[in-house]
Amino acid sequence: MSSVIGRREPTRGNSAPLPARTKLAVVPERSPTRRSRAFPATVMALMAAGLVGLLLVNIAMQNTAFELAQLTARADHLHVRQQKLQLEVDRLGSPEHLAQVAQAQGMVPNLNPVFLDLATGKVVGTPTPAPPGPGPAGSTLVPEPTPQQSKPLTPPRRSGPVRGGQG
Amino acid sequence: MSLRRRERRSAFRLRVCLLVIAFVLSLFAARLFQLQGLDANAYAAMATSEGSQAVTLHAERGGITDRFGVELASSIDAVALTADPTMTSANAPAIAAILTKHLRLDYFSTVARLRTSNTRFVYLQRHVPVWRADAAMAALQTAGLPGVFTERDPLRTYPGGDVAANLVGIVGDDGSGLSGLEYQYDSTLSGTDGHATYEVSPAGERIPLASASVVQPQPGIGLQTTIDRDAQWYADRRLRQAVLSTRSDWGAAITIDVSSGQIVQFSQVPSFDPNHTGGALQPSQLTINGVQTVYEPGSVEKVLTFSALTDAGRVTPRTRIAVPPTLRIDGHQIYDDWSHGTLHLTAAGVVAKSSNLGTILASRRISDQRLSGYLRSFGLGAPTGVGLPGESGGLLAPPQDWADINHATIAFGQGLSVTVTQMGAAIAAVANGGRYVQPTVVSGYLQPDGSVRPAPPPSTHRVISKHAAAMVTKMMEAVTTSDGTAPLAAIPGYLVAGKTGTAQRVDPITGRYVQGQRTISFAGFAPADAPRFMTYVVLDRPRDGSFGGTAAAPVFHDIMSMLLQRYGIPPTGSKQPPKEPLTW
Repeated sequence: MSSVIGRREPTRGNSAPLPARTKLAVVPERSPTRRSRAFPATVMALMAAGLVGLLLVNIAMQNTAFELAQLTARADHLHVRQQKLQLEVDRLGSPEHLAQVAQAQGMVPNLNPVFLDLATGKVVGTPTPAPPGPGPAGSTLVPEPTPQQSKPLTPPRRSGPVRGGQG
Repeated sequence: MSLRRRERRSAFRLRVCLLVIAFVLSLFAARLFQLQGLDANAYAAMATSEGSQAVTLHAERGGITDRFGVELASSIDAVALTADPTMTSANAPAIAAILTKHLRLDYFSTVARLRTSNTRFVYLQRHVPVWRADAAMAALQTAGLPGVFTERDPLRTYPGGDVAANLVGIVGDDGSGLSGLEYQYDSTLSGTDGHATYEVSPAGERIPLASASVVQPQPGIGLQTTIDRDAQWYADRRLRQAVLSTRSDWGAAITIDVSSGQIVQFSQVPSFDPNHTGGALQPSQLTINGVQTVYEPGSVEKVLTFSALTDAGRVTPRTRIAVPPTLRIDGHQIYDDWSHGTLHLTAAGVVAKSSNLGTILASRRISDQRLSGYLRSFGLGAPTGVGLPGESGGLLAPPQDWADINHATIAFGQGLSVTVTQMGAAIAAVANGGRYVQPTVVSGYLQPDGSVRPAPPPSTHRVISKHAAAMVTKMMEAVTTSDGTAPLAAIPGYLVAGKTGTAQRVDPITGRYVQGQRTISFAGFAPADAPRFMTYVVLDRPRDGSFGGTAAAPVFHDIMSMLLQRYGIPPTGSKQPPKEPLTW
């Protein structure tokens, strides 16, 4: 061995100091398992939220549909009730019924139109007391049976000369 | 080495998978093309028929109202009660007991129906209002008795009962009009049915949120008539009393608003209650005597003859006519209705006394053509077009066929036939100052939105001059005085113009006059110097010897008094004019 312990020179040597070498290290591997789980979880969550939302909207719409059905039924019921009451009103307000009630209270029809002129206080027409009790038309207020269907014509015994048209 | 082999194998697998997927997808595509492109219509039709249900949405029938909007006919919701006897025969007595209680059905016939054999469908009761049917169905359900069902069966109600029944008409079980206005305006009233299509589950339940297509029904158009319900009711009752007391075959009364031609009341006896037709229809229920029955008008027609004579300038109220006891024309001996020697009557006197012979002599002053022309202009011999079904035009022979006897008898109202509407409209023309207005009964159409579309105005034309009409009115005023034939028609305080009619009746089978059978009538208007209404009353074949002046004139008086009060028409206040002399 030689007495001179020399430093081993770099082959492409000059005397300038060498820069510090970059230290290599093992890059910690990013966990592939964690990343691949997060994405599906998000998607699943979104889908679940969407489904729940859809379900809620559906339930709300169904409830509205039921309410609609209920209200429609109620409207129908009230419509029928209105018709029933209208029939009753028509019956009570009919001239036939009013005449019967009026007659029951002792009222008689007035067959002599007379008017009072409010501006002058003058009576227009000829006032005549209405006859007591059912008048000429009074008895007509009580419903009477409709006459029977007219019988077929009986053949004439003989026909006479033209002699009509008397008034 | 092994790595490379593995790569090659996986690439191979990938290609195979791709091929398989492509093959499957191409199968799908082919099937899709087949479904959508080739068989699309067939499958769509199948889907529609399987997965959806079509429902008819019935249009509501339009109502019929009077001139003030009061309902004369309206539709209400009703159902038919039906039963499946295979389900009900075991429990028939129990079911019938419940139905009898709620619906006033006959117990025994209901039991019999519930036990009908060899069928699965019977009607128990038709046209049941929904509220009654609901009560009965609820009771059946509570009692646990199945087999009774309901189906839609709308009910037409007539709130006025028999008021204007013949005019308004009726509808049949299928809801279509059978008579009167219900028949004449059926297409207007009935509207257009709509339909709805729903998707249904295989079990037939409607899928709530599935798509549905709905075509809304078009409700029918209602009719507003010119009838005044209350006046109509009063006239109906008054006329019925007269028909019963005179034992007439039928009676009719019409009131026309003279300036508009609107028919205010159009009563008829016999009538009927359309709410209780009992399933069996009588011919009288479908007849509107006022437009469908013709008769000889008798002396009321003299008004038209004298209208023609005055308009032609041949006669004035004071024209002197010497009336002989009798006239012989074409071999026929003609008399007045009362025996008399030679009378010296004025034209007004001829009208007031209703002399046939005087009318014949006066009518000879105009030709057949001229008289016929006037009568046709007054609306005789042709339908008036009032808008009611089956209107008759009456009978008026063409003037070239007239012999002397025809001219003579037509002049006093025999030998021609008219309807109540024709004659009423003709007298109304005289009241309207000589201008004829076509009579109408429908004034407007009630739109579903509540508005009213007015009917086209009636046609109108002048028949006689205003001056001639005034002269004829003067002659008619004498009729209701104590010297005339109808003092019972006079209304105290008012000037009333009128004319009685008592015509011999023609047997429709033999076509000959029947001795002792008459058609009696009265037509008039008030106030005579400013007429508003014309009322015409006809009683056919009275059996108590009544005349127009004794039986028809009082009916006119009562109807007219009621109308003058109701419409607030005071007396015109004019002094009773100096009477036209009746004799000379």
